[in-house]
This record gives sequence, C-alpha cells and structure tokens, in this order.
Amino acid sequence: MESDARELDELVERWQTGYGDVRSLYESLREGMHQNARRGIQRVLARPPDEHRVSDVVFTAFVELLRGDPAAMTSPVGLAKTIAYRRGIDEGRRILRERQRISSLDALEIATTLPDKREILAAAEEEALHQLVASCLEFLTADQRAVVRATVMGNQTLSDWALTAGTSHQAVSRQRARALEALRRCVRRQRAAAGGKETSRGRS
Amino acid sequence: MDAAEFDDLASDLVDSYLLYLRGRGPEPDTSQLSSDQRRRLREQFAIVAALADRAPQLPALDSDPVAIRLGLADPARAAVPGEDPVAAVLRQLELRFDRQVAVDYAPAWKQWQAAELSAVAQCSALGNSVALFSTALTPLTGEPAGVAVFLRHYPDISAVCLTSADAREAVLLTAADVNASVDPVRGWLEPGIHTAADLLEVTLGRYFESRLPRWERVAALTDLIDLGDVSADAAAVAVSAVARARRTRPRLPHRREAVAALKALDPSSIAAVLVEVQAGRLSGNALVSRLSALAEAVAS
Repeated sequence: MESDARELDELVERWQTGYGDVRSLYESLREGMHQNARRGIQRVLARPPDEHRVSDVVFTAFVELLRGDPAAMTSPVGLAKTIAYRRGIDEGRRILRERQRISSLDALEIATTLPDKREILAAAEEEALHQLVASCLEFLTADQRAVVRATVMGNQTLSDWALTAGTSHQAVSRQRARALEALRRCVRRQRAAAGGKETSRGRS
Repeated sequence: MDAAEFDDLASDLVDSYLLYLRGRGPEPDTSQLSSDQRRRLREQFAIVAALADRAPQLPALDSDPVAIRLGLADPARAAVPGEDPVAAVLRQLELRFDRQVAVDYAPAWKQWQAAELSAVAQCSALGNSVALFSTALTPLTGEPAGVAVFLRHYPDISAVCLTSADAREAVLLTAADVNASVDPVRGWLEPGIHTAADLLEVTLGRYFESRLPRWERVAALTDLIDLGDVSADAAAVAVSAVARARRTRPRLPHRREAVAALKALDPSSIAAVLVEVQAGRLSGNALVSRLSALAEAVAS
C-alpha cells in the first residue's frame, strides 16, 4: 500500500521533470479520473451515467491535463481528478441542455474557470486516502467486502443487496456499518504507523 | 445510544451521504450526535467519498477505450491469443454490465438455418434478448428478410445483431428495422435504411445501456411518509384536479359525456380516498373497488 503511494509519487515526479511516460501516468490516474468523471455527471443528472459518456469525459480531461505544464502543477493527481470532475459537470449540463433542446452554444455554461489550489489538494488527499482504504479492504471479511463493493463503490441499494444476499435489510445495514468502522480504524492505524516512520526517519 | 443503534443511524447517514455525493439529496445532518460520534462519522464519510463510484471496474489498460483513443494501448495485445474477436467482445460485455447481461452460446434457436447468417450467441438481460449472428454480408443490412422471418419465428427475441467476423462492424435490428415503413414525406422506406454500423462492442453496449433499468431511490423517503395530516392538501389537490378536468372542452362525444359527469363529482370524495391511501388504510383491490364505486355513482 505504502509502496503503491510511493510509486505513484515517483511516477508523477518523473513525469513532472520530463522523464516519465504518458502510458504509465494514465494507468495510475485513470481510476481516480473515472471516479470523478462519474461523480461530476451524476452531480448534475442525479442518476448513474452512461459509461460511454464517462470515457468521453476522461479522454477530454486527460488531454487537458497533458496540455498543462507539468512542472507548474501543485499536484498532478489532484489536478487530474479535479479536471475530470469539472468536465463531468460540463457533460452533465450538456446532456440536460440536449434534453431541453437548447442547442445554442451561448447557453452552455462550461465550467472554464481554473480549479483552485484547495480543490486540487482536496482531490489529491482523497486519492491518497483511497490508496490506504484499498489496502484496508483486504482485512475485511468476504461478506463485508462484498457489501462495501456493491453499495458504496457500486450503485446498489442496501435493499437490493439484502435481496441478492438473501438476508434482511437491517442485517446488511449493520454489516456495512461494521465494515466502514473497521476501515476507519485500519486507516487510522496505517496513518499512525506512517507518522511514526516519518518521525524516526526525521530523527535519524 | 447503544452500539447497534449507532450502527443503524450511521448506516442511514452513510446512505444519505452517498445520495448527497451523487447529487440526489442534501448533506446529512449530524448535529444530533455527540462530538466523538460526529468525528467517527466524518472519518467514515471521507472513506465513503474515496470509495464511492469506483465501480464498475475498469478493463485492462490495453482494452481501456480511453487509452485506445489516446493511442496509449494496443487492443490487439489485450486479446487472449487465438480468441475469437466476437467472443472477446462478449466477454467484455459481461464484465462491463457486472454480469447483468448473460451470454448463452447454445441458445434454443442455435439450429436456425439462414443463408449468409451464422448463429453465435444470445445476450440477455431482464426482458431483453439479442440474437447475435456473424455474417459476411456487405452492407450488414443487405438481407433484412431473413432477420424478419427469424424475429417472427422467435417472438421472445427482442432484436438481432449482425456482426462481421472481426467485430469491427455490427448493426442491431429490431422488428421495426427489418420491415418496410411509411414516411409521410418520402413514402415507403426500404427495411434497414436508418441503421448505421458501428463496432460490435459499441452496438451491443448502447442497446443494453439504454434498456437496463436504473433504479432511483426516493431521497428522504421518511420525510414523505411522516407527512402527518394531509387532509387539507388532499382537498386542495382534488379540487384543483377536478376543476382542471371540468375546464377541458373535448371534441369526442364520449369524452364530453365524461366531463359532463364530472359535474356531479364532489372533490371531497376524491380527497377522502387520497387521505386513506396515504394513511395506508386503502390499497390494492379495495382501492380499485372504491374508485369504481365512485365512478359508477357519478355516471348514474
């Protein structure tokens, strides 16, 4: 887990200094970008988006990221996610306008303003947290992992999942609550361990 | 609050937070919790935000549509050596829809004989079944009569997909596409005239994407259930709906008769039905009987 995060940092650093390859960069950023593109579209449409639209958004966002100056980026990971989110919102608005048959380009309110530093850092922090959580998922029981995958990472409701698992809504609900609490404790432990290592490295 | 109660409450709040993240509800209110519980929940929300919408799982980089468009991947490398391109697309289709689309390589119609068409598989999801045939026809819509006969013979099949052997060209034909149609301006149109070919992956993907239902939850359902006394609102809605119906001026005689009959309808009787339905006292057959009794009373 920690090595994953370090690899990503090193990769981004290599890319920022002009030595990294774009394929590896895309490979490391694509999951977070897809997540935020989906979230951006959903934010406007209030429903799960078509995956073709998500791919379009990620493509546009990644091309936009490559056009920027890597050396001047505060956090390429955060910036990639933020751009994907914003282009997702644009796509959601475009779909709404298409539905309302407003074809005039003037009517489109594209989110063209540059994302601010705070937003980028928050997105980067979320991605770093995801790296921790992804490793903690391994410590859950198979049932807990399944309920988290279906109802948090996916779009299934607790009731749907209860029906699939052949159990009651309340049982599934408590199972997920326990899983999230276990993840929270695991993340705390990981952070505390990482903090301890940093301190000892600083002393030495 | 004991641990089980907190688990229940936390789970409800996590649900509300997921709806909030997805633009379907307000940010959940945690003010009723103690500061320690609030802190725990805030940390859980951060974890939920980091995990939410990570599914469906992305395909391998070499089959990732974005990587292919960016020129960073070679789809040929993603294929299992020796695997049929059509079978590879069907495998991806199952993964993409999280196994909601089932691929059956031995469907009941497998023995169907038609010139130029070779049966491949049936892709099914809920009530939609697509029969997939491989063909060397150019264009793919060149022989619609055979498809029309197939669809008449197998009414359970919703559409037929014709694909080239390399899966680079495919068309999806419903019964409407394979029969001649009438256009008010251009007259009779040949079957399949509006059908454009695309990649097999795109053709089948679009079809199932548009057909599979998206279940939407009602945000804050508990608020709607706990409305309390709705008599006044029900009366206002009933009066307004009846007045709107009475204002219409239909041309058809039976509709005119219906509007005339509405004059005898007391909106309060509709309001009473609304209140009983909302309170859960009236539903199913009893509701239908009550409404038909109302209608008969008005008509007589």
